[in-house]
Amino acid sequence: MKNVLILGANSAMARAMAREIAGPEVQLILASRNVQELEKTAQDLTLRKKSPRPIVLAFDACKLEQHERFVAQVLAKVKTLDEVYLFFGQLHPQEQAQKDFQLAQEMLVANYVGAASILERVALHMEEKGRGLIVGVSSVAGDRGRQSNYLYGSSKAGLTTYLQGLRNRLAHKGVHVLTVKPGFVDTPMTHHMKKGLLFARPETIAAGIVKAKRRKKDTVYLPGFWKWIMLVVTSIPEWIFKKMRM
Amino acid sequence: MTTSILNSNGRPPMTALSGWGRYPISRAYHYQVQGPSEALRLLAGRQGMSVIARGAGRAYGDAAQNKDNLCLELTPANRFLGFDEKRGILHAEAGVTLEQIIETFVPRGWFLPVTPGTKYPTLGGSVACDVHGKSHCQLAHFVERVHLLLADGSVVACSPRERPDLFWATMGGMGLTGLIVSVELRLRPIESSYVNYEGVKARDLEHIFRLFEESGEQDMTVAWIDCLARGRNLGRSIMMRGRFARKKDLRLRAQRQNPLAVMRKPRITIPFDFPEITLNPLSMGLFNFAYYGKHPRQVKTIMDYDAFFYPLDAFLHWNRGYGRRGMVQYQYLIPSKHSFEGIKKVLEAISATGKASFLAVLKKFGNLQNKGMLSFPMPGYFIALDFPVGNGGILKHMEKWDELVLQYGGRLYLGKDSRMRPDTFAAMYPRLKEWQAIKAKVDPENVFSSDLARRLHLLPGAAAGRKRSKPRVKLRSK
Repeated sequence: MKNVLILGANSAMARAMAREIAGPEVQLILASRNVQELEKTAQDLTLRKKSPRPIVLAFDACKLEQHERFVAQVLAKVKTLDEVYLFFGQLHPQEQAQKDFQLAQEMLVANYVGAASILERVALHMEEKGRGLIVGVSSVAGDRGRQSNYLYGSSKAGLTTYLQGLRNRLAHKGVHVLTVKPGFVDTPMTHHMKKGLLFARPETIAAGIVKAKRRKKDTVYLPGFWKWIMLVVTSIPEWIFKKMRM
Repeated sequence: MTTSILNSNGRPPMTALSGWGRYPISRAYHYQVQGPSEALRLLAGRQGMSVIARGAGRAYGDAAQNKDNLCLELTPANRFLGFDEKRGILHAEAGVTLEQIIETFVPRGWFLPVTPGTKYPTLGGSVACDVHGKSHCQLAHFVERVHLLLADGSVVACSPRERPDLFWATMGGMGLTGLIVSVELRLRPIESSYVNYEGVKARDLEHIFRLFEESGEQDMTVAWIDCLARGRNLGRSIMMRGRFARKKDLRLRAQRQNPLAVMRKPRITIPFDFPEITLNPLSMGLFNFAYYGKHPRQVKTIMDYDAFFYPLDAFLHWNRGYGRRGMVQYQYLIPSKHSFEGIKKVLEAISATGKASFLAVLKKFGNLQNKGMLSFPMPGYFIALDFPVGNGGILKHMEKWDELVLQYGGRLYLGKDSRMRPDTFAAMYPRLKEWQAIKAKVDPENVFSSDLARRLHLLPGAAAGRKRSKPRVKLRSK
């Protein structure tokens, strides 16, 4: 039996991921703010994938003081954690966040501080066990600051760099860290955006993560073409870039 | 949290939407919705706009479109919420597709009680259209309960016993009574996922009607009709009849080893719009001639459920075959009393126009008592024919066919309609007033509306939906 923790399990991508992972041999632990919704997902996975009933726990990325107790709570239910997926994230439109720093702070705390806070605790456990996998969902938005979403982007840039460092540290201890950088995904998070050809379905991202995991990748852009888009975006010299409207 | 659903820079995202027929097309604010709480949030922040739920976009016409207003796509709300193994009752969110139900429950010995000719629609959409299929019955008959998000923001359960009025207004109610959140559906037990199939050739319309009458209520039946056959040969067809096979019926080893197999077949994607000339009377005539000619007088075999129920699902995006301008399906039903005569007269009128339908199927409804006010099924026979829209000339012809259908007390199916006139509709569905009374009670402000609702004047009172903000501009210019 493999024990898998999914943080932010109510997100569209996490739901798709849970369906990919779930099975008779996998004990899922679903964590999110809305426990009532998680119970429904748990029921669905039990019926659909014949998996053992997932454990459902309340978790809030922004309530840092509860994180230590949360990990203890998880480890009281399952002795070891084999895989941890970090899916939670907060996105407020840039224009709104510029006017109201409260919104910006919410993103920075949830996407970066909260992520680091919970993963540090997970890392201690996995380091001790000498095995495990951490999958962190960052974003292409973190690759370069742009006027249209740098508040969100910088929180994800922080996460990307954090995961990079964590991978370096845990590589010596037999623990693998996978950084996922999705492009635009058609989920409630992107409700306010104009949908176009670049938008991918959450199921596509989940399938991509499974593949990247199997291939032991360190960083993966999903869908893959974002690697090339971001290569172009990051290679524009700053003195030109700053004059562009992106 | 009631945030504005519009983009803060004032340019809200609009998406061009259409049904499976890809005609007509209109633009709406299109949102993916994961569940009732999100739907509720959007409902609260709708800023005077009307709302319609959308499933997989498999209704042919404009049922799930809402020009300049909100369109909430519920495909992400697709969880199974419970299953009663003893009674076979599945509780699932509205966005679950029929395919997902099949893949999960066929291996446990359950199948859909009623299924349309495709497995891609959502459960919510199927209930809203009150779909039917080869089994002489309507889906509503197997719906134990639906959970509806009403215009006032409350979620209520309704069933044939609790709030029966609302229940029957919702079965076939095209999503206009409220947003269907989840459905409790009674599945049918099967011993195997295979079908005892029998194909019989019929010379003409009389012959095929006789074959239908001979078939029992348990048989699932459909006839493929060669629409280009005229005069003496009118109604030349092949009857396709099937029953779910028992375990003891299975002969092949692979079938016996896994009698409840789920079929996962390779799909062929129609990659682009075919030129409209592809499906012309000549090419279709040749196809029909070959198809009919090739078929033996009678065959019996064992077929998997996918081949029997969903032959067209093997082609993804087959609607592209009709070209850029889309297609219209004409599905008319003639009640039992005059079925033969009515079906014949309309078919004659259709074949007289020289318009060929590539796909034409004849089916039958058994002795059902349909309490759904806007629901299509009633005892009798019905035919569905596809036509490319082309330059729209076909639409004029259809209005003439409508009159004939009305003369025989028949009706058209809302799930397939994209062009009917409101007066025709009112004449075909005499219980419209009753439905409107219930609609006025649960949704007095017409929060739920759609292109179809406005086109057919379904809503009581004034046409719903926000008019775009032209008046404001006028005020400023004063």
